[in-house]
Amino acid sequence: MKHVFLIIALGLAALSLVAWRWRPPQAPDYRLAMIEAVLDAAGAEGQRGLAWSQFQSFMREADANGDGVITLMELAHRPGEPLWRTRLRVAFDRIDANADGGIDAAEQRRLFDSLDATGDGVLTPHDRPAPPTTLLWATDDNPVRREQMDLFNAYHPEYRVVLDPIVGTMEKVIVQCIAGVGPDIFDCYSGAQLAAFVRSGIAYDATEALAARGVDVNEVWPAVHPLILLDDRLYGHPGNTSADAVWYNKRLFDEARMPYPPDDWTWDECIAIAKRLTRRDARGRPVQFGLMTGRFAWRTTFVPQWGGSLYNEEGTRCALDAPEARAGAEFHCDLIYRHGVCPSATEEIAMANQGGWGLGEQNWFATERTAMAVGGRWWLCTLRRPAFKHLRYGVAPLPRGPLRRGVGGGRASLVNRNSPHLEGALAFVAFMHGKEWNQLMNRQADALAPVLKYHYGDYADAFLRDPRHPDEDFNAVWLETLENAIPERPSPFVIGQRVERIILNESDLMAGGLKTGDQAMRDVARDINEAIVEMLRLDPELRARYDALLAQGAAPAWNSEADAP
Amino acid sequence: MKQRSDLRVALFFLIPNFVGFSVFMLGPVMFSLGASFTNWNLVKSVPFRFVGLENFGTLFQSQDFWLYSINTLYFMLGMPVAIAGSLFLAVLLSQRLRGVVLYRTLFYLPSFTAGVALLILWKALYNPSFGPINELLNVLLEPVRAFADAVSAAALLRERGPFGWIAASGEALPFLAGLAEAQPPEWLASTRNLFALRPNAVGVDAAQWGLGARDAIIFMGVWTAVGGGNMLLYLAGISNIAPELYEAAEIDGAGRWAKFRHVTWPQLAPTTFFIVIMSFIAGLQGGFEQARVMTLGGPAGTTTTLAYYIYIKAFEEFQIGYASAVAWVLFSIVFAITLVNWRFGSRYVNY
Amino acid sequence: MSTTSAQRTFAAWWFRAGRFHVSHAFLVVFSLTMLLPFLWMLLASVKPQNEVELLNPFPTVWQWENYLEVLTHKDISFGRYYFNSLFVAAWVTFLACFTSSLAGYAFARLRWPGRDHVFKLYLATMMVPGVVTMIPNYTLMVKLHLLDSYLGLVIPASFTAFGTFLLRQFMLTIPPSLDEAARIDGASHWRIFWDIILPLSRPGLIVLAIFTFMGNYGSFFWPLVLIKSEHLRTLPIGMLFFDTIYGKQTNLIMAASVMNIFPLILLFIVLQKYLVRGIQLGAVKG
Repeated sequence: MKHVFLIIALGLAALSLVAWRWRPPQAPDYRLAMIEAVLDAAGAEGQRGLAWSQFQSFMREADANGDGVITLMELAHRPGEPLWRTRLRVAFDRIDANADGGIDAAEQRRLFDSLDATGDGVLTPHDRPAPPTTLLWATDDNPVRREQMDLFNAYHPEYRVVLDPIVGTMEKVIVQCIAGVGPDIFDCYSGAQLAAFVRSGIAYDATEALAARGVDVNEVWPAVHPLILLDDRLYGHPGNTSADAVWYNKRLFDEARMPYPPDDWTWDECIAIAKRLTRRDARGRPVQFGLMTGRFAWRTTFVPQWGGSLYNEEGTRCALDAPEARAGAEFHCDLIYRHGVCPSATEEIAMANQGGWGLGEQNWFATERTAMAVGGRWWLCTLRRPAFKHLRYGVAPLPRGPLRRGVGGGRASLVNRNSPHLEGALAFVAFMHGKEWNQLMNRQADALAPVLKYHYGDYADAFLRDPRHPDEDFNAVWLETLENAIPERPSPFVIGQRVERIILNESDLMAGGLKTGDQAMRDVARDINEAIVEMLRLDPELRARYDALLAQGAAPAWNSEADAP
Repeated sequence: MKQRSDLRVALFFLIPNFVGFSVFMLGPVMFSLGASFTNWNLVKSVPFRFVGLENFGTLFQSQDFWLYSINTLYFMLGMPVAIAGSLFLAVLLSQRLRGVVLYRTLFYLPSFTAGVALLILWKALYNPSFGPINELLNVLLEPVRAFADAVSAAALLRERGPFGWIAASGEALPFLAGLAEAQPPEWLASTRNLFALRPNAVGVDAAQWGLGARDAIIFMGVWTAVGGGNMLLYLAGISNIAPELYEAAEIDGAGRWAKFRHVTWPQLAPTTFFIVIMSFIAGLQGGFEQARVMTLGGPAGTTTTLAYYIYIKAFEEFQIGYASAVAWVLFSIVFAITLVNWRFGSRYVNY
Repeated sequence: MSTTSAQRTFAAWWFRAGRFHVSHAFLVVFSLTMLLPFLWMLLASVKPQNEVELLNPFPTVWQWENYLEVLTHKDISFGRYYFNSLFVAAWVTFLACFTSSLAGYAFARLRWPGRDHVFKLYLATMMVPGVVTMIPNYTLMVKLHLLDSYLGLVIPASFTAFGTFLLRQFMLTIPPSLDEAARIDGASHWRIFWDIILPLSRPGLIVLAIFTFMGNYGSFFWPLVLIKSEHLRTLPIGMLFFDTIYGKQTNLIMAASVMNIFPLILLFIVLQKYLVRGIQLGAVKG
C-alpha cells in the first residue's frame, strides 16, 4: 500500500515536470528576422537606416519578371541567395495577407510599415517590434474561424488574436465578465443576446470608437443591425450576415423529371412541387420529404411574409396575436398537416439524430432525405467537404407569400467593456468592416459578408463567380435574399432569452400538432406580454421609458388595466 | 467503556480536507444562500436590494416551478428500480463466476460512453418510425390490432352474436377502434406520460396518457444506472463483508436468501445509506445534461427539471437571486430527506 | 440425425459439468445490450461524415483515416489535450483519495464533539446545485490567481464532500473491535489508519478513484470557463473544434471519444481486480 502511494506520487511529480516544461512553440516574429536580414544586406548603408525607396529596390530584385507582384515562384530557392530572400519566402503567407498568391505593391508597402516600428520612415536596428499583444476572442471554434484569425494577424502583426471557445450560449462570457476576466472580444448571435450583454454592463459602447475607425453602420446589411445596435448606440460589428433561401437537390429533381424551382415563385407552386417530391414507404413512414422549413420558419418566414411581426413598432407589446401573424403560423401548420410536405415533430425526430443549431435541416439535405430545404449560405461550410462532393444542388429564393421577405440574422463580435486591450479589440472589430475580411467571408461561405458594398460594383464579379467553386452559380440568389431580408427588432422591455424559451415551447406544441398555429400565436403573445409586465415590475428605469411610450400612444402589453404592473 | 474524545487527533486528520472544503465548497454555498434573499439581477438597471423571503413567495406561486418540480419527481421514479437492479447485479457479480471481469467491464461500459454518444444512440433507438424499439413493439402490437379489428367487425356484423354486447354497450366499440389503431409510443417527440400530466400547465388530461419523452428518459436512465456507479459501490461493499459472517450463517444452516437477508443486507446498510442519499441528490439535481444536449427541455418543457430551470433563470433570464432561491428550496428538500434517512439508517449502523 | 445427437451430448455435458448457470444466461444477454452504445461509437468513428446521420449500422466505406485526421489535424493539438485531461484527472484522483480518506477516518473512527453536525455540513454542500455556486466559485479562482492554470483545475476538485462521505461509509463497515484491539496494543492513530483502516477500505478507495477520475476526466464546464490558453485545454474543450455551428463532424467526434475512453476502460480493468479487501481480517486479528 505504502509503495503504491509512493509510486503514484513520484509518477505524478514527474508528469508535473513534463507538463510544466511542455510549452507550445511560439511562432517567431517574422518582422524581426526580416529587419535583420534587410539591414545586413544593405551593408554600410544600412547603418543609418533604410528608407522606403531603398527597400523597394530589394522588392524589385525579388520581382524577377518585373510585373510589380512577387510570387512564390519568383522567390524559389537559389543556391547562395541572400538571407532576406529566404526570410521573405518563409514569411510569404503572412505578408500575402489577402492570400491571392502574390505580394503586390500595397502589400510591399504594408510590409515596410509593419517593419518600421518607430514609424520614422526608415528601418533601423531600433525597429525591433514589441511582442504582439494577445487578444482573446470568445466564439464558436471551427476551421473557418482559424482562417479568419490568421487574416487579421497577418494584417496586424502587433496583435495576435487567439480563440477561446464558447458553445453559443452566454454563461461562459457572463461568468468570466462578472469576475472581471472576460475575453477581449466575444460573439453575440441574436438581438436578445446583445440586449442582455448591454444591460448587464458587459458590452462596450463603441459608437464613437468605431466611427473613428471608419465603421459606417449604414454600410452594414440592415438584417444584422439588431445584433449591434441598441437604442441607437453601436456595440460591435457583425462578422457575417445571413438570410434563408431554398436549397434544392438537383438529382432528386432530375429523377422525378421536374424542372428546377424558378427564380420567382409562390408558396402554392412550391407546395405543388414539394408534394410530388415527398415519398413515403408502404407503412406511411416518411422516406423523403419535399420541403423542410425548420421548426421556427413561422417566425423567420411566414409571419413576416403574411405581414406580422414579433413586436409592435415601439416594442411595447408582443404582436403575434395580430391576425396577420396568426395567418402566417396557420400556413406553417398547413404545410405539415394539410399538405404533408413538411415533417411534423415526430417525423422530424424520426429522421434526425442530432439536435441544436437547426442542424436537422442541413443534415437532411446533405444526406438527400429532403428535396428542398430552407437554409442559409453557411451550409456550404459543410457541403463543400469531401464527404458531400457527390451532391448536386442549387438555390432558389424563398417563395413569395403576400409579401416577399424573410428575417435575416448573423453573428456579431462585441467588445468587453473591461478589456485590458481595448485598442486591439476595437481594431479587430473594425477590421470586420474592411475589404479583406468581407471578401474572406464570401470566399469561405461563412454565410455572407456583413458589409453591403462588397457584393456590388467592382466586387460583384469576385463574389458572384468564385473560380475556386465554379459549380456554385447561385450567389446572385443569396444576394437577392439578403436584399429582401428584414431585421427582427427585439423589445427592450423583456429579457430576450425568456422570449426564446416561450417561443421554443409553443413551437414544440405547434409542430407536435397539439395546438393550432392560431392558438399557439395567441399563447405566445400572452406569455411574452406577461413577461413584459413582470420585467416592468422589476425595473423602475424601464418602467419610466415604457410609460413615456404609452403616453405617445403605443399599445400596452396588457389588455385590461387590472393586469397593468 | 468511558466516552473518549479524540478531538486533537480528529483535527489533524480533518484539517487538510476541511480547509479546502471551507474555501471551495462552503464559501460559495453560503454566498448563494445570501443571494437567495436578494433580488440580484445581472441587468444593471434593476436596483439591488435585500428582499427577504420574497423570492420564495414568488417561487411558490409560479406555475413553472411546480411544473418543473413535478417533472423532477417524475424522473426520480426510476431511482428505486435502478438501485435494486444495481444491488441484484452486484450480488451476482460478486460470485466466483467465470468471466466476471468481462461482465463487470461490460456493465460499466455505458458509464464511460456517457454523454453525447449515449444520447445519440438512444435517440436512434427511440426513433418513432425506424427505431428498433418501435419495430419490436409493432410486431407485438400487430396481433392485438388484428384481434381488435376482428372482434369489432364480428360485433358489428351480428349484433346478436357472442360479441353483440360490444356493439350495444356504446363504450367498448370506440375502445376497440382505438385498439385497432394502436400505434407504438412516439417517445422523445411526445408530451404524453404515464400520469397523463398536461404539458405547460399543472393538471391532468386524459389525452396525455401514454408513453412519451419523460418515460423514454427514465428507461434510459435506469438502463445506464443499473450497471453504473451504484453497482460498483455495492460490489465494493459486498467485498468488505467479513467472510466469517457468512461462515457463521452457513453453520446456522442459512440458505441463499437467508444469508442475503441477515448478512449481506444489514452489512450493506452504510453503503445503501450512501447510495440513497446520493441518488436523491443526483435525482433532484438531475436532468440538466439531458436537457442541454438531448431535448433542450422540450418537447414543450416536459423534460425541463428544476436543475435546468435554475440554469434558465440564472443564465438566460439573469435572475441570480431567484435562481438561488430555487436552489435552496431544492436543498431543503434533500436535507430533510437525509435527516430522516439518518435516523432510519443509524439503527443498523453501530459506531 | 447425427447433429441432433451431438447437440444433445453437448447439452448434457454442459449441464452436468455445471458449466451452465442461470446467472450466465442472464448476464450474457444483458451485458451485450450494454455494449451497444460503445459499438455504435466505434462504428460511427469509421464512417464517412455523410453516413453518420443515416440509420445504417455499418459504414459503406470503413474510413479509418478519421483517427489520423483527429490525431494530426493542424489546427488542434490532440496529444496535448489528451495529456492535459489525463494529467489533471490523475492529480485530482490522487489528492481527493488522500484528503477524503483522512477526513473519512476522522468522521468514521474517531469520537469528538460536534462530529455529526460537521458531517451534516459536508453533506449539505453537495445538495446545493452547482449552477448557483458557479459565479462565487469562479470569482474565488480569479482572486486566488488560479485562473488559466493546471492548479485551478486540480485544487478545487481535490477536496470533495462526496469522497469524504463515501469513505466514511466504508470505514463504518469495518468492525470497531479492530482498532480498539490495536489501541490496547499501543498503536498510534496514524498507525491504525495507515496499517489497518486504509487497507481494509481499499474497495472504497478504488471506487472513489474510479469515480473521481472519470468525473474529472469528462468534466466540461469548469475547464471551459477556467482555461484560456490553448495548450492547457482538456479534451472535451478541444473537441469543440469538430462540433461546430456549421455542422457537427460526428464521425471525428466519435473517433476522438473512442480514443478518449480507452484509458478509462484500461484503468477500470486494472482497478476492478482490487475491489477486494487489502488484507484479511484474520491477519489483523492474529
